[in-house]
Amino acid sequence: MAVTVLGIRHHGAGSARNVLAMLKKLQPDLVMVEGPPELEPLMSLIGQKDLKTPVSLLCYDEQNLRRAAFYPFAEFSPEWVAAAWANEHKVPLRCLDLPLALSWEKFPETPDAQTSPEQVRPRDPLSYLAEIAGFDDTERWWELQFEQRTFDHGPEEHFEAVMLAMKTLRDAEIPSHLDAENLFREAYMAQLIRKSNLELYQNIVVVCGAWHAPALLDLDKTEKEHVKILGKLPKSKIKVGVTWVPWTSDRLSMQSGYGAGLASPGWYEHLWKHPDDMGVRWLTRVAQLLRKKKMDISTAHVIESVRLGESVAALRGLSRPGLLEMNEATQTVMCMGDGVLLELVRKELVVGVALGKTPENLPKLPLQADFEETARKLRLPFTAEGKELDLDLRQELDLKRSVFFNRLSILGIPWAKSSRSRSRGTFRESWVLKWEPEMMIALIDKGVLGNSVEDAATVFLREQSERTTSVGDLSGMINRAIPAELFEAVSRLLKCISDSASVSTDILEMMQAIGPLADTGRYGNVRSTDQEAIRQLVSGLLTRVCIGLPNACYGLDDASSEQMFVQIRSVHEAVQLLDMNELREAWLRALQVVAEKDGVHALLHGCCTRLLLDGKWLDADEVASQFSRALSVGNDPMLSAYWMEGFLKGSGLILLYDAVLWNLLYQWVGTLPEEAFVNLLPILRRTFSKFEPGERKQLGEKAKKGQVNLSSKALEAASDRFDAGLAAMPLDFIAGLLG
Amino acid sequence: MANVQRQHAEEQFAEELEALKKQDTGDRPVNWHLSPRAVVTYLTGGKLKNGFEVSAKYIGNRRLMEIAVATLTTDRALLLYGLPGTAKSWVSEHLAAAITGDSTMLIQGTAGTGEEAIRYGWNYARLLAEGPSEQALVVTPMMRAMKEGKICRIEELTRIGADVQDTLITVLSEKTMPVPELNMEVQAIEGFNVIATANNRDKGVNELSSALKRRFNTVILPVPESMQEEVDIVQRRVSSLAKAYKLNAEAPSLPEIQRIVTIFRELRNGVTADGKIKLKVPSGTLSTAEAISVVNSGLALAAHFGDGRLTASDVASGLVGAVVKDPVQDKVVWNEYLETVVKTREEWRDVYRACKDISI
Repeated sequence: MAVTVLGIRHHGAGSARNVLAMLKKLQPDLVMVEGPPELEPLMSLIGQKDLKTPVSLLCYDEQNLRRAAFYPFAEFSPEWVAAAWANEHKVPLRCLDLPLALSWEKFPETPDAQTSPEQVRPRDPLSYLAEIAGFDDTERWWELQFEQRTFDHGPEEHFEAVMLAMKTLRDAEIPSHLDAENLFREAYMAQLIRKSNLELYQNIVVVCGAWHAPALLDLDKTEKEHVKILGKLPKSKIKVGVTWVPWTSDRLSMQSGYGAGLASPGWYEHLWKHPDDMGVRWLTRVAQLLRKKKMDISTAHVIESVRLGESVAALRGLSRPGLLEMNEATQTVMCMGDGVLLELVRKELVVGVALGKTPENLPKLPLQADFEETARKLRLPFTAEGKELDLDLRQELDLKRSVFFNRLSILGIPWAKSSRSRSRGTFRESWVLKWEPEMMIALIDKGVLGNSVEDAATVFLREQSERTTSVGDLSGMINRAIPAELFEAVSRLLKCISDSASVSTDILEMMQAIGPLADTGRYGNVRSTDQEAIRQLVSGLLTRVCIGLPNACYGLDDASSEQMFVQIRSVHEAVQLLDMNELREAWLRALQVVAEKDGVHALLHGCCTRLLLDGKWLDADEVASQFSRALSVGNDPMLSAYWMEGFLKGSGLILLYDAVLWNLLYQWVGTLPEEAFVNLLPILRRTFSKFEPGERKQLGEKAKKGQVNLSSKALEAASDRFDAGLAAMPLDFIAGLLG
Repeated sequence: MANVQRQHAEEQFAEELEALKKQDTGDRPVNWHLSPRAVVTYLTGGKLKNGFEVSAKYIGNRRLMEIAVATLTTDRALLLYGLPGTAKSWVSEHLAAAITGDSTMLIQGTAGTGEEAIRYGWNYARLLAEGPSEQALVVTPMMRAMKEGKICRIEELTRIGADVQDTLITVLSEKTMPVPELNMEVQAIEGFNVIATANNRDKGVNELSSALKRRFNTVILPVPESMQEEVDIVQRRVSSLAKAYKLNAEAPSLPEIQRIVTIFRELRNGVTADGKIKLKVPSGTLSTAEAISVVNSGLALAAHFGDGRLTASDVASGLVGAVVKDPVQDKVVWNEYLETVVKTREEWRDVYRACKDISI
């Protein structure tokens, strides 16, 4: 009976190589790899063709899908290599760790943890060794010492060295932040090995994290103690579901079930495939990548990079250049010292862009389960023909349904389609439900995002928000996230918008965002913390818009001016809604600058003047003089007409009230030559046709009467008291009678 | 020699170089005075085994110095690239001093630098009297460096016209300089190399041809990485300059310098120091050297027109001038910064007011 413990680093390419060499040499009759026993059934798939790295095992609590853990594997993961070897040689494979069902239970506190609950997290034990060796980066030390180096006396020497290093650290009782947890895990691991021993396996190879290796030696001595520890373990009723999910290289670099993530999966894969490469192959690949991006990289560049890499390594006293030296050589020789291109190398080569594949007919994904469960709870039928649903959002069930539909639509699953959009102040929503089988595939595709529809939608929005810096897009996402009640995503999006807005130079886009945001801030169904954040964000956006508006309005053509016109009006409304005096003042001041700035389209001049009048920033006399200036004979009639459109668009009531403006307009029309008048008709029509019918009628009546006599104060007073709405009512009625 | 205004690096730090040489046990490339590792120590500072303290010449990333020195051990030339005021010339001088003990072989690049400043010229009196001969040849620093196996420095390489730059190609790849008039050539002996410096963001520069680019390894010297580093550099330089100008002003307080450096760093990096708010970046370079000059001109104002104490209004004009280089775009950037960042900081009220007073 022999047990060989091989201490590895998870995802260590050198560790994997040595594990493989040892397996070949020892030909064990049982292979045990670190990992909760729940993984065992699915580990047997490793080695099959349709399971392609990078992939991950996903474990989840069947009752509480949010509790989940990932165990990702790359081609060069020692656990993967060991499992593949075992499966290929038909050697039994077992997992070695505390079952997840147990580790998800509440743990009894260890006495140490009780006495000092606010203990600082101790430093990485390996850093002591790295420091002695003169490295400030522990990862780099390990990589050079164990992953890249080939030991003279083969893999045995490698594992002896690892074991010695770990044993020394552990014997010195250097603490690790995982100590409390490890106590149980290691006891359990040891117990599993003892059990296998009893089953009369003769030659067991154990592959586990290096730190645990020393604890799995001398099993006879520790048995009593371990049994005592394991007695304290809680009982667990948690049912753990496991399945394979496709993984990506950049996900490999995240934190996961196996602890530390891997910063450079692509580089490790290279080390795994070409252990003897001194940089030639790697730098050739870098050169090829840069060439693909239209950079002139010659073979001479590669030669010089290799030489520089070697001499920097020599200067640092290293036996061979590592990733750091490769990157430095690339940057210095190929990229003219520029680090930006290196980012490209990092993304495509150092991390890599590989996507894994999993076989079909695997157990159901949690997201799928959550989806079906929610649909059942909300009593939503899966019908192929369209079914209409009218929701009253004051009912809890209907509100939940609406939220659920909104989440699905964020995920791109158009099961329910909204037939009328929800506007503020209404409680009604209409949806059409229509189920198509492809939707399930789309859902499964989103399985990596999260285990519940809510989580997946949140992560989806997060990923989307990382891909764009457009303020418009982001505010669109917020408007989708709010009815879906994805509060976490909303907070994040708010942060994104405020980041993008501060570097964005597109004033129009910011203005577009302000309106809906202000609306949401006031009426939307959001948490109060977000409400405050929205208000802050809007005021930040508004400050920027106020500073940038005059420049943004400069030199616009007709079409762009019209866009700007719409935005200025919508921001103006938002400003009224916000009710913040300081901002209102800044906004009106900016409008005044625009109104007086040369080179701004007459439409905008008119619009700003009107808004300033409405905001009581300019008094009537001032406006009258501007009105008269805009309509003076010397101007191009086209400009005057645009000015008027800007000033009047939306509401003509002002013409009914203000005799001065009325007279100016009346005179202006009178001065127009016939040809010019005909040319202007489209613009004038556009301006006046938007008024309420009653208003139009009144204006027509007024026009018949001609100019208002200004000398008569009484008349003015009378027109002040004149109630247009009241007057309009019978007019409408009469108009109806007359047909 | 005592009254020269500025000593060469190898003279000023002769003691350190000597101490390093005594301790140095590493392999030295041919014609090098120190081993590569000792050169790095000379540049980045450190304590020798016998307790001798070597001062740091370059405050910043040690790895960059390692790459620079490793480049010179191969036969590739070194190009130090970066914003104005990032210590490129300083590093180049000290590299030459440490490696060959001689930093004097220097060619200053300007738009008017001709081929004869790089290759060789003629002493015309001699040329007319004696005809072409080696005695009539005017030897350039480049030729001398080749003959003696030393390092030739070229300052502001990108200011030299493109056609003249390309005369370097033969020198760098063939390591020889033909003199067809005399039917001879000068071949570089081992140890020869070239260190060039260049600005990457400046007007009137000539981009290197790709043939020439290929002969250089490029190291970009960055602006100081941490706040502390930069405050350190500014404080040191300001106090030494104030002494040189004999300014009758109080040394600026640390918080004042920190404030100016913070403004420079925030605008340069496009994000506030706490990382919470992103900012637009102005078109200027905002180098450490400019921060130093803002403090200095503020000090001069305070000394001559104020009470000798540096106040916010003394630095405001320099600050605005350093940030707003483009009257339209930068103005927007600066106003946004004032309104969204400076205004919100309680203890920065005086800066906000002082900057607001300077209407731009």
